[in-house]
Amino acid sequence: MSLLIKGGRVVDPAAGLDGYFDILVEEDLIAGIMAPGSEPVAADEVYEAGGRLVLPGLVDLHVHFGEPGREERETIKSGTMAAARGGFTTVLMMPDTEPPLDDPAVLAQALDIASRKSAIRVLAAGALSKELAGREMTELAGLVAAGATGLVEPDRLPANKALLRRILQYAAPLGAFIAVHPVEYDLLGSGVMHEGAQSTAFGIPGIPAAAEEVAVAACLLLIAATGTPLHLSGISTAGSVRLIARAKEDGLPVTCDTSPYHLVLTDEYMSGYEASGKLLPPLRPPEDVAALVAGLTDGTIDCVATNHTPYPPEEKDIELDKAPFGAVALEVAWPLLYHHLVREGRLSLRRLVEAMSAKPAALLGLAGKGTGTLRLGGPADLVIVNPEAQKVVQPESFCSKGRSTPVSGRLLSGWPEATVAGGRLVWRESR
Amino acid sequence: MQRDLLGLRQLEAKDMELILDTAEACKQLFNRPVRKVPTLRGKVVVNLFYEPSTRTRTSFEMAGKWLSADVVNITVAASSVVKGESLKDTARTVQALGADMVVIRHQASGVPHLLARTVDAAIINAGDGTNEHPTQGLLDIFTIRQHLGQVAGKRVLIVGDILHSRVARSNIWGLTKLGAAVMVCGPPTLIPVGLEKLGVTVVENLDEVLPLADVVNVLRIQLERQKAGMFPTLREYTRRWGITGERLALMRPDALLMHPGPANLGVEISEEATLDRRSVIREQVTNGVAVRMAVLYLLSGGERHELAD
Repeated sequence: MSLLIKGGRVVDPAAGLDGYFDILVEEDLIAGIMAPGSEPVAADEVYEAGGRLVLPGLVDLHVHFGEPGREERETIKSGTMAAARGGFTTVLMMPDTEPPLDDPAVLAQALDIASRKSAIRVLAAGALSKELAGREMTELAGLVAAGATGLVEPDRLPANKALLRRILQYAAPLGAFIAVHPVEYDLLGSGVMHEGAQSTAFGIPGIPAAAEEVAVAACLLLIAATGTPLHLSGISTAGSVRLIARAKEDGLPVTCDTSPYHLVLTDEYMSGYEASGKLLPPLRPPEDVAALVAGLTDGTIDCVATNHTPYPPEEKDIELDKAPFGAVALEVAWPLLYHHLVREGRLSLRRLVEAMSAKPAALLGLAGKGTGTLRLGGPADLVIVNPEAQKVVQPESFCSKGRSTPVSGRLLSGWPEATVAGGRLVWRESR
Repeated sequence: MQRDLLGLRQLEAKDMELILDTAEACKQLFNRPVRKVPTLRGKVVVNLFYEPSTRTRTSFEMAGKWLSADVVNITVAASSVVKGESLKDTARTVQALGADMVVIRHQASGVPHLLARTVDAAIINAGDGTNEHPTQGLLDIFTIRQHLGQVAGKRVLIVGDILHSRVARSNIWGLTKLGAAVMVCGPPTLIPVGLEKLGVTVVENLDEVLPLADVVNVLRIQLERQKAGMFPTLREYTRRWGITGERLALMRPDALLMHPGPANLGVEISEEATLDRRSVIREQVTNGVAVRMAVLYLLSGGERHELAD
């Protein structure tokens, strides 16, 4: 089986490519990258990509699915279809399933399901603490041996900083991607949105920026103390960006990401009291959003991660105080950022591609295998984007089982048109 | 007039004036031998209360009854919430029962807005979480207007837990839109971030501003705030922010003293203060009925002159 993707503009920062090339896919590998006018090659199928962007398949190191145990939230099948449609060819699944991926056998089982039901590459993150309770260390080495690509504590920072320190010490030699979500639960309280002038105006309980920044500072100090590389998931304030920029200047092995929504939307969204805007971290004021875009531009923020968090509508579209944090994002992440950052001239296309493919692939230790770039003999993971395609976000048409997104009804451009994963055309928009 | 009354944040000054003027006309009815008017005959008003509230519910009930509406009270017990009955499901049930207006009280901010998106009936916010209690704000403003002639240019001091108070928030929106100068004073832990951006002055020393205020509106302090560590003890709260006999002496002789009720006597306000000749606390209760009559009337599509005769 071979596929020729013809006439597209190939943008691949990791390979230093930006130009018009034909790409030949044979089986699951890239078999040719040819300049226009090269000798014609035969292929079983030809994809006419004139006027399209051809990019490395996107990589997301933060998705929540619900399998095993919470299949009504998202199955691996529905989640990976959503990913494929959004242009993602590799995702790292968080361990907050039921039971959580805190045991090597459970993790191996989840990966087994993924290998049978997924159209794209699904990697799994094992939990750092048993039952994600922040009290006891999991079998970190056992999880890695069972196939965990990452070791992650999602949603909150272990309150017990002694445990966190020991985890960093113990896990250092394992070489896995280690990530925490910098949220200090005591400071989060019963907050729903960013604490500031808007929460005061809307009368909605606030979450202070300190709930994140105290956690970021604690993590940076523990990285300095242990020397272990640590990734901070979902940073969202100007203060966090400043702290991390300084730590990087000091040479600390810290990396971080932020989400597509935090790069575009502000806390003003909560004016309608819609739970679709209840995210953790919360949406922030314009000055934080500007600092995040600047941080992504200058590399303080290494990459974008979606934090795709599906819930059935009856669980999410309810009263603000009871609604869980989170929104689905896989199917809108690329067009949202392309439309609002690249098209509006606030971020280069090259940097966005890098931050959504090569960079997260490198953090997950996949760069050596050619993930996140288009190179001869590397895996045939790529996405074809139509930069002119304009479409309104319609959650009812999502592949994801989750429907809640704060960009519902928004007109975006630059939608993925086709996704090739492992050499197979796993998604193609009907034209 | 808008279709729903979700908050004073969303209400324009002219609509607020219309409600206040209509409330004047409603209050006239109280002096008649027969108070009941047939204006809302055949209309169904549902009081949907997720939090216990005798005062506000009774006030809406009387307002509805004096306008001849059929008033149904639904107090949603904690038990049915535990049973998993969803808010939207309850709202659709209320709609199916034929409600023209739904008066909703809920512990979460924004629930009236959620309902307004879900059902066709007009929604009246009777208190949502820490957000707004618009009819309380309107009745406070109505009371000020009746006593001081106008609201514009008056200095209104709100004392207490501003952070959690929907009464404070509705007062702030309403008063600032009508041109009053609003000052707030309370424990720094209970003053919300960025309040100045709403056009409010935050003052630290209560005793320094009491002599300046035309109106002193004292908020109820929820006793559980102390347990949550917002301030050390009730004793210290009273000492620093309680309206006591000594503080009464600092107030202007022609000032108004208000409290939305129910008061924790001896905590945020002394019994002596509630009985002071400057206290209009009981009048607030009566005015509450007039304001709620005006709101029910206007949201049902009425015009002011129809009611006056």
